[in-house]
Amino acid sequence: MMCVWVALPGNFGPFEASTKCICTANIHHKITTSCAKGNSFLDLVVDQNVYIDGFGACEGTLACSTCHVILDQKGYDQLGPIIDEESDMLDLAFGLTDMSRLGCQVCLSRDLE
Amino acid sequence: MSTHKAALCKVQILKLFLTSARCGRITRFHGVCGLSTSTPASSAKVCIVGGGPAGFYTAQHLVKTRTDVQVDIYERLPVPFGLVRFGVAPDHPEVKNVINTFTQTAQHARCSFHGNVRVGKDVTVEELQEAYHAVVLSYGAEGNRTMGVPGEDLAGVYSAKDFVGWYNGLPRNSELRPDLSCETAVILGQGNVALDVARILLSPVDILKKTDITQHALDALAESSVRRVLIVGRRGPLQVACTIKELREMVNLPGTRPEMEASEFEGIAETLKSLARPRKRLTELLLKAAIETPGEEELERRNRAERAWGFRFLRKPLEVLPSTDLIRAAGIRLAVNRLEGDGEGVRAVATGEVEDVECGLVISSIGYKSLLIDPAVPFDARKAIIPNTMGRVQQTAGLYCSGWVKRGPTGVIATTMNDSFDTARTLLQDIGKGTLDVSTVKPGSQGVSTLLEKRGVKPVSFSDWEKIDSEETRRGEIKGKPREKMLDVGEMLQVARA
Repeated sequence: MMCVWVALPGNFGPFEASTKCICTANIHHKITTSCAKGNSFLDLVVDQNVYIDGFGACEGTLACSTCHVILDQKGYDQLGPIIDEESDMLDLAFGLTDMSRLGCQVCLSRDLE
Repeated sequence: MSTHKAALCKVQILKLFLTSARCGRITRFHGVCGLSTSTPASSAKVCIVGGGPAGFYTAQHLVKTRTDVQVDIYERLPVPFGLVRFGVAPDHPEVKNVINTFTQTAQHARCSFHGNVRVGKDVTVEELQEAYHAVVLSYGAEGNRTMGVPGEDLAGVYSAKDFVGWYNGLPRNSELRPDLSCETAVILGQGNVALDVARILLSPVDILKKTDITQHALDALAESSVRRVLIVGRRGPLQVACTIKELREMVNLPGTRPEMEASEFEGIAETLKSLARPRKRLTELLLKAAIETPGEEELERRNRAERAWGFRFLRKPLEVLPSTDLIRAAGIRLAVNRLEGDGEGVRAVATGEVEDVECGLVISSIGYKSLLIDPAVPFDARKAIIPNTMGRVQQTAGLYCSGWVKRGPTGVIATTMNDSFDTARTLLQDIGKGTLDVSTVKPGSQGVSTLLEKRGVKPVSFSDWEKIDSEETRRGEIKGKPREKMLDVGEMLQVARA
């Protein structure tokens, strides 16, 4: 079982005009997934009808960063290597961290813990 | 329950099922007339002006969050989707996948699309405010910043907005007929639009012919003599506004090689370690393309390449130089800059030096610009945006804005998406708090339809658009393209009404 945080910008309240608010007002939704072999995290969100506003806009084609997820160290280390094209889109993601990946590239398999 | 009411519920149930089937999802619903998609007479009626990403994402958030909001989207053209259709490059089809989400929104029971309606001409914003509880202005940026230099009106000089509109089938740019008979093209500006233009100018036609690029653009590019594209910016390598994906596409573009001056990158490598990850990776790639000695394979590839591209920095346009017959562009005079300040405050300052570059095609890609569509709407002419606070238009109750007309014309689709969600949240907050009064009964689209009918304006519905969509797809299939876009509004209307 892998823990994945969906990182979204969003403000649920007033913010100062001077603040680059999307850097400070992000909301993390914790979603616990069970392993589905071969699917990506994005596939799982779509298949299980989890409605996350604006998630996966380009439908998993590495043309946006809206499926940005943050993993814990254990999860991150289990994933395959990241290709340039994913890193390129990840560069544009809101709230980018060292444990960030794009959900459409996070492949879930039975081997993952 | 009267027969009429039962029939109404039945229609709504049917619509719900059809929508679900198209999405491939089964949606459970409870009760018959207690449907979440039913629209009681007291529902809040919201009007959105502009059928591009901002309009659709604002609509999406509204209908998904509250079950008592009805949203009508008005669009100037018979066809929806704005810059996703007319701005995104033909060789970036994945970016256009958002159209699937927009289609779902348009087909939602509480949303409707009304194309071929020009707000500000066919119906005023004031009239929309009479008919709806709230009006959201999401009409983007139809204009462009001009260089403001002599010679800008010569043949061979175009705004990137018009050039992109030309290859993407925007009806008002269908007669552009850009002259591609010169060897060198100079693009002013170093954002993603500038890189899109460079890439389309230099891409092998074999790649372009499988995209939804318009046929006339494809034909013109097949005959093009352009072999060298310079992408010119006022400031330095650390200030380029493009993103790494687009730069990587240039670096990997078949049949082309990068050609840049090492002297323009002095001191840049030393700054790398202090840069944030996105800027660092972008700059590393730029340095690699510009000054790194290529490996054997890459060297061979570059030697074989017949087309070249490169960034030029610290250059600002002063004048477009005319040909001897004074009709067309033959060159561009550039002021040489140096940089002052550092970090975010870096600015370009003229050195007094000047440089002339021979070229026959000049494309200014220095920014789109929003325009005023109705005198009743407050407008900041200096910033070219609608003055607002979190999407609430200043000094005008019930009026909101989202997208480029709210924030300025920068950012990718995801930026506009988040911004539109923000405006939708603001609007919903106002309903919740009561500052936006939705208790009165408003005529909504019925009211507007009456006005439009009197004025001889026939809106295009979303299912009318689907006829245009099918026809474009059919025409494209014959040529091995995803679609062949119609270039004429008259033709679009004919197909829509068939």
